[in-house]
Amino acid sequence: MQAPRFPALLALLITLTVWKPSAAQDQTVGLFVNDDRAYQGYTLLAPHQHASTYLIDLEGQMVNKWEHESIIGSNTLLLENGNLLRASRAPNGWSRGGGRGGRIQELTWDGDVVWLFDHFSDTYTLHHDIKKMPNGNVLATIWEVKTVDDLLEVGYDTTALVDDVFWSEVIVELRPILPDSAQIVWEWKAWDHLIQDFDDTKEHYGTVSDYPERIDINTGDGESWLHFNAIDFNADLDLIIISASVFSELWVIDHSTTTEEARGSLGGQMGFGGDLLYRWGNPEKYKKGGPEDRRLFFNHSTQWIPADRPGGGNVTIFDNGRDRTDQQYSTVYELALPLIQDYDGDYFFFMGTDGTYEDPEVVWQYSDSDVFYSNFISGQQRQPNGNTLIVEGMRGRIFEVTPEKDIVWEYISPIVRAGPLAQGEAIPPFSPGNERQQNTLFRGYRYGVDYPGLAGKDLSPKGKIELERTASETISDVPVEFVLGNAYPNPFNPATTLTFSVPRPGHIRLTVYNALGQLVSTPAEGQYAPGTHAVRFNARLLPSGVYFYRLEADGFLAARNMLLVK
Amino acid sequence: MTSRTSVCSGFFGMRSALYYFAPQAVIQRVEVVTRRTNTVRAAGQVLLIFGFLASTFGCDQNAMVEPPEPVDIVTNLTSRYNPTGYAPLTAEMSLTTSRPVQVELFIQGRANPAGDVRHRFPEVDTQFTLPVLGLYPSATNTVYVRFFDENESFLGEVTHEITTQPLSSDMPRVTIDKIVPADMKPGMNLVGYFGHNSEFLPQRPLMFDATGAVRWYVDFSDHPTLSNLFYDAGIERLANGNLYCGDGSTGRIIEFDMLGRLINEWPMPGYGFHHNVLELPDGNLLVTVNKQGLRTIEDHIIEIDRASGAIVQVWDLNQLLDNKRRIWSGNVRDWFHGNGLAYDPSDDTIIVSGRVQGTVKLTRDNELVWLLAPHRGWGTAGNGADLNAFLLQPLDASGQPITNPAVLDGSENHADFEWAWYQHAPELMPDGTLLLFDNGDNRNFRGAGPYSRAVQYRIDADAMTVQQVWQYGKERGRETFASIVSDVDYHVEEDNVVFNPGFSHDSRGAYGKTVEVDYASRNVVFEATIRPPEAFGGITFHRVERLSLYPSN
Repeated sequence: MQAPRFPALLALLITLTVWKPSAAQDQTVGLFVNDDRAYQGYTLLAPHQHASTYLIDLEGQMVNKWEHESIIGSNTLLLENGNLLRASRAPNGWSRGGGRGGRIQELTWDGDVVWLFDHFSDTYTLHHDIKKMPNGNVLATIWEVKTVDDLLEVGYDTTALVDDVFWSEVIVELRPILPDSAQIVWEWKAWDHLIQDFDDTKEHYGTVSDYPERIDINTGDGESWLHFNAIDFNADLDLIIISASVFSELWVIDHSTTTEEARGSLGGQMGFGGDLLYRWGNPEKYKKGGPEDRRLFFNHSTQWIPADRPGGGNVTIFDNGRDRTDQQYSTVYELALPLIQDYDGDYFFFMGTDGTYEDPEVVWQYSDSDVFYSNFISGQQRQPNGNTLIVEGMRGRIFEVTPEKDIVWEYISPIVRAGPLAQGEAIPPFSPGNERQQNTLFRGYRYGVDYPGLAGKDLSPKGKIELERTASETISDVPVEFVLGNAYPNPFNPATTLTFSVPRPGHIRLTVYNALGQLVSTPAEGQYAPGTHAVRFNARLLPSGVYFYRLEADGFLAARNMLLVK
Repeated sequence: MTSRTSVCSGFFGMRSALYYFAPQAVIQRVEVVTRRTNTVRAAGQVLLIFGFLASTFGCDQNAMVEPPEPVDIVTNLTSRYNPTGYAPLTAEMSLTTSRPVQVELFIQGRANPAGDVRHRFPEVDTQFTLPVLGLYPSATNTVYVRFFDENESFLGEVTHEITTQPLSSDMPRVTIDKIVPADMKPGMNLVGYFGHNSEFLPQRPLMFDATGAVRWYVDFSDHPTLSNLFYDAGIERLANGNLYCGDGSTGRIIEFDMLGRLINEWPMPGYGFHHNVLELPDGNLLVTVNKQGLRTIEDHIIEIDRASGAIVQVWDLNQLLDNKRRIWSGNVRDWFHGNGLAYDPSDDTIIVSGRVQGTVKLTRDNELVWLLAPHRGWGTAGNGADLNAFLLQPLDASGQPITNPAVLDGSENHADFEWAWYQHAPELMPDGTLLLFDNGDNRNFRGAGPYSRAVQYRIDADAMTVQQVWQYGKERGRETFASIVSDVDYHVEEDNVVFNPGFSHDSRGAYGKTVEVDYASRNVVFEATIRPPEAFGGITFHRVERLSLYPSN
């Protein structure tokens, strides 16, 4: 069914004569969905653009808040001892590079800093990810600066170089030394595992496709050449998984090596030293495929699923999807890697007959067309009940889906650069015209009610993060009767504005029903002052179809319909 | 735990229950049995079972004679139970006699004569230190010590009691599914056991008898250097009677006796042990090894000079084959998986089974002779040779080449011919044909079957052809399917093949079988099922060898 075009435009024109745009809309932030199928626990909310961290309950109520001297640099974790481990941006650190940090800090529940480790210079800096290891150490990612001479030495085609800036990747295992130091007890450098087919007079020259375990130095785009935006440690297997985002690949390397072995190509449990044990997502990067073989399109958040959770041992990854050429959408994958335990008990990654690594099995995936899309940051976390918490970082949206992909919890971060928004306030963009919003989230984690780090903590609700809704603005003179206005636009996708007029103070209720008569939303309910009010109804999560909206107020009852077209 | 000797009195005391059997009568009876004919076998198993048990294992009523008068032979007899601490069903006997004698030890089978253990030591002497093997666990064993003069005339006997500890809980439960004593190869079953009930290492090799009773095992848990023994493909007996194996944990070859005494060891500097070691006719040792410092594993063979310990020959499969061929496995590191060796004395070559590539014959000059594997995906060897030139052309039963590309490729079988899939345990038969355990993993590239086979191929290295001449096991299907490990052996005296799948599973868990079949009829003459308390990696055993308990028998 298609609504007549003219009446809708007419209605819009008429309405515009009585409605003035306002910052106050329907709910814009905070809790949207809380179904009892959600995994019971507390969600760590680490704003990407504001120097604070929050722990909220399933009702969207804040139970703890930490304030910091700088924004994150990028990951934040709640540790089993109840402390916060936070990669943050060192005040005097690098000024270039998304995800730059330079600092790791551990804070108590009350915000006291127990460890603050700055690790940066002109030639290196901590960036992006940190992971706490079972031995108490911290795995972290570091950029190291490579000079033009360095690049020439390894056969890099410097014509591809932009601004003479080139950073390579290092992964370190840090043993924290309180209060402000750390010892690097293990180290792996991408620079030790190169291949190139550009300059036969230089190191690492060879046929790239013959060395899938090596990294082609001439394949990246310069600056943050590999851009490791996520790492995760599997203690059971002693393996590290990496999101090599610019390569649109996930990599696995061996942590069972010594640092010396990690510099070479021998040793470790699989005999490959520090060479890649597995890679997937974009075989063109090792010249074993073309664009049609690509499976990842810029990615984040490579995570091992803990053994005691559904899918234990599998890997999840957030494919941002921004490098797709057809349409833009994101996908969360659960993957079973082709990690085989042979009859000797040893593990190996299966190499196919064509010299490419075997594809993983896609065990589960979540996507929702362009309704679910984040072109940077973002993440996911498998929950013990089988649900998956997903962070659509660009939009500050964090939601939980069941294996059947029902959304059972949804929250939109109210924290922007200036701090928390008021409910109903529009979320400002990252920059003018940018589809990224200021309430961006790098990742999010849910900690169950039985999480050791929460034991003994004051988890009472302490109010919502978002500020109280500013009063709905009166947008016309006091009407003489209750009126339920037309929705505009109508048809709509995904949101429309509903207006109603209240002649006298009183309680009203504005509800939306689907074609089956089921209540799907209550855009407005409560005491309203006399006047004409507008509320925003967002149907992003609803299917296309006819919807009815109904106003109930002091003996008044009226209903209209509207059409959602996706 | 204790030992007690009844000098002479035991002889009389046991007269009513135990009879002496004249050695000559036993020999005559054995000859009758080994000259069996189809007619005899067709005449009735029962008679043969009785006859075999009664004769071979020493209960021949016809051979009973009254023992001679007692003689005062023994001047001293003591024993030490489990003298090394590693072999709980053994003892060591010290014996002094008043005159030069030959000594025979006898332990009566607990269930029936199939469990009898008898061994005549060849020496004629007055001072003896004798291994006592085959004791029952948790028992006061009566060992009959019999004396013969230099003419093998019986002089008399004494009994000696040895009390043993309970059987280790790591040992398996063995059930005898079928036995035709007259037709089977006598002896114990030496199991390259992977079972355990506590710690997997050290691995504990064992022997069980024809009744299913464990009669020997070693447990090196408290050994200073063998406490993590990992022998992989298992243990076999050297020509000198001792046992030998590799130890993957310490990377060396070891030799030990039946009491568990470490006799010799050969370290392999620069290499690590895996899978198999084979004694060559000149005594040297051929070993499947990992070469240290390489990314790949299980793709080298070395020969060790037995006397000096020097590594005198190295075969590198990376040079001889294509280590990037991934037709049977995607494992980059373990791309060959050498799991078994054989030696061909006719041309001084070696035969190597690589589980995920095929079976190859190699010269001492490091050249490939032939390559027994489906023809799919062979390229260029590390040394530049075109491997397609070494593939064998299969023949049908009439000797005509099989030309169906799907059969050559391996994706289909021919009525007369199947390739071996992920094979183990190569062995050359007396006529030069090759016997393999065809595991049948991923058969026809699609897991057809499942079944495993003992398969015999006739290979003509001049014509580069292969013909399948015999098989057993396909008809047993899943019951004897073992995708990995396993063994097959041929025993020429009995003309029997012993088929040993070591990785089978049913609803009750992991098990392995030893199935002895008559070559001509394929009738089962002995079959036992071995069920471990726990099977490491689902493996019950790697190999099983039929051999005598005492080395010189």
